[in-house]
Amino acid sequence: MTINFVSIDSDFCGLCGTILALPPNAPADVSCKVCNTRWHVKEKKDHLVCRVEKIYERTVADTDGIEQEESVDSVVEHVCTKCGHNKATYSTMQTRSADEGQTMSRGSSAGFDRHITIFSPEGRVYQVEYAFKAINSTNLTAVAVKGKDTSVIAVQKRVPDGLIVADTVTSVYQLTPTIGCVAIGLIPDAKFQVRRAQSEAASWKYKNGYDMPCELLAKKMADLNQYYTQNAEMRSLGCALIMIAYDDEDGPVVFRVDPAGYYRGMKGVSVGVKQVAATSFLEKKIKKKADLSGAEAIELALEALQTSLGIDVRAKDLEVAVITKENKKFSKLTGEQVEHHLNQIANRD
Amino acid sequence: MSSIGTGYDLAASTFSPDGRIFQIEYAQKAVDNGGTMVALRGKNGVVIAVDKVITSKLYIDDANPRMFNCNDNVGMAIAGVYPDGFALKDYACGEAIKWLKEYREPMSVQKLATSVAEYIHIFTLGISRPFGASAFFSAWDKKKGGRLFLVEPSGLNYEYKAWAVGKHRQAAKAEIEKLKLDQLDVQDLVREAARIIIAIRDENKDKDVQIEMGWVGENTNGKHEVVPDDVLSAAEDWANAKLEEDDMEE
Repeated sequence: MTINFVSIDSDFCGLCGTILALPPNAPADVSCKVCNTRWHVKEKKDHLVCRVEKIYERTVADTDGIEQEESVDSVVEHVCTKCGHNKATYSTMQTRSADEGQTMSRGSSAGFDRHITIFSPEGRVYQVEYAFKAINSTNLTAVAVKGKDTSVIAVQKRVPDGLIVADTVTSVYQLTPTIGCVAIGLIPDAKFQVRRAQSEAASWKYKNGYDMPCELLAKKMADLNQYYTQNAEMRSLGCALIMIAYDDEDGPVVFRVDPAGYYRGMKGVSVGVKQVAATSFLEKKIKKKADLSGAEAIELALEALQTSLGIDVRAKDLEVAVITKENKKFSKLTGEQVEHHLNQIANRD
Repeated sequence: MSSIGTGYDLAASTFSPDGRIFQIEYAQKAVDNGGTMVALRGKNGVVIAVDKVITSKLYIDDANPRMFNCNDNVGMAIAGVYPDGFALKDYACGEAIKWLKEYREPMSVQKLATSVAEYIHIFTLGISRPFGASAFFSAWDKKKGGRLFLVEPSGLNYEYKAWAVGKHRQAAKAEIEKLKLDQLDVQDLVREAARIIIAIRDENKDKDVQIEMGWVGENTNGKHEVVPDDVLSAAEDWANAKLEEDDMEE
């Protein structure tokens, strides 16, 4: 019996599923080889089977405006056959098929001066510059100001976690009964420097019989910092010190010591992440009036800190310490005293 | 400015271009990958608990302890690379004994912690590699109460009310913040510490672990001791029961 069915799928037999022979022309009748059913194959018109189009644009990267970043290759120990230098960079490339080893090329690194403290070809000492970046790692700022007969330090206090006992977190240290300092930067390095300074001052007093002047202590710490920049055995310390004291001859003094081995007496100084803003604020105010009374010096330091931080600071977020002519001992202000000065600033505006 | 280091991480004497010292950060990672250690300061004592990984079934029961006494009154617990921690313990005990010999009174825990922190810091300057270990110092006396200090591979040293280091420290800290520590007695602290450690364990990964605890407080008269086995197993049973109870409630 021959019945002409129209199958759903014109490639296969609708009854037994066998593949149908493709007719040379359509429309035509095809019979299935297995079950002998005849199927009518219709014309296929405008029948899109499948189409894929991929368009590749050939482009050239625009590198005119972009600065070429120096690529940092890894440095390994390898003795150069030409000059005997023991450090070289290497890079690898696949130049053969995947089952063969990679090609390795070595170059003598012009960047090895980034690892120990020697000069770069441009005359810079990179490791010391990087040590300065470490000062900002704790995101704190400190300001120090000296007046007619008062030296002041003001610094933010930030407790890293609520589970820490807040009294053990401080950046303000006492070096001798009459010299105090604030150390900003990597905290273990700061404590190390403070310890050394305390030891140097105590040793001076023991040998010479009188208190070490602040300038000489600052000079000693600066000389130590310079030593670290010249020797390969140790790295520079990632912290800067601001020392304050009341000197017998010079009156109130403020000294800044940094990792490069540089120290100077300052009228007002700021160290830390917002130091640029704070320093420009201090420059403007001190230019107008340099001989400040005790309260004015404290308020100037607090104002500089507030302006540079951009937020309202409360007494519990600050540590303030002073040395005055009447009381030559280094002492920290209590919460109420700091509160009082902050209110004076607020009332003035 | 990669955070992998690539070239600036070969020695502790090198700063990276953004002012970090990668060797110290890597040493910290060595501690962070170790077994969890939890320390709690309560009303009248301090408890430190460590989740010790038993690396071989052939070890005798008390092998490789993590709790030590530096003085009679100061306890020390180490985390991280075990040999480095052991070297720190030798230094700490040495310092405590020197002080005792010279001043004829026990060294205070704060001074001991500071001294160990300064020692650790010297190794971060580049002369040698940093220590890959952290240490908790605990003590209790009638005047000042309980005190807990942590010394880290960077040389950082803070006093804590409670803290956790090691693999599951974030989960542990979250649990700790729920507790009202200054109302808890030392016995309660032992139970809570056991509960926190068992709760934060990862059943699939943390196998063959054993809790080791040390306490110091009014109940031990200011002397630091390893918590007795019966107290410890009672605490573990209590902790397991409490956790099942909490699971059933959910």
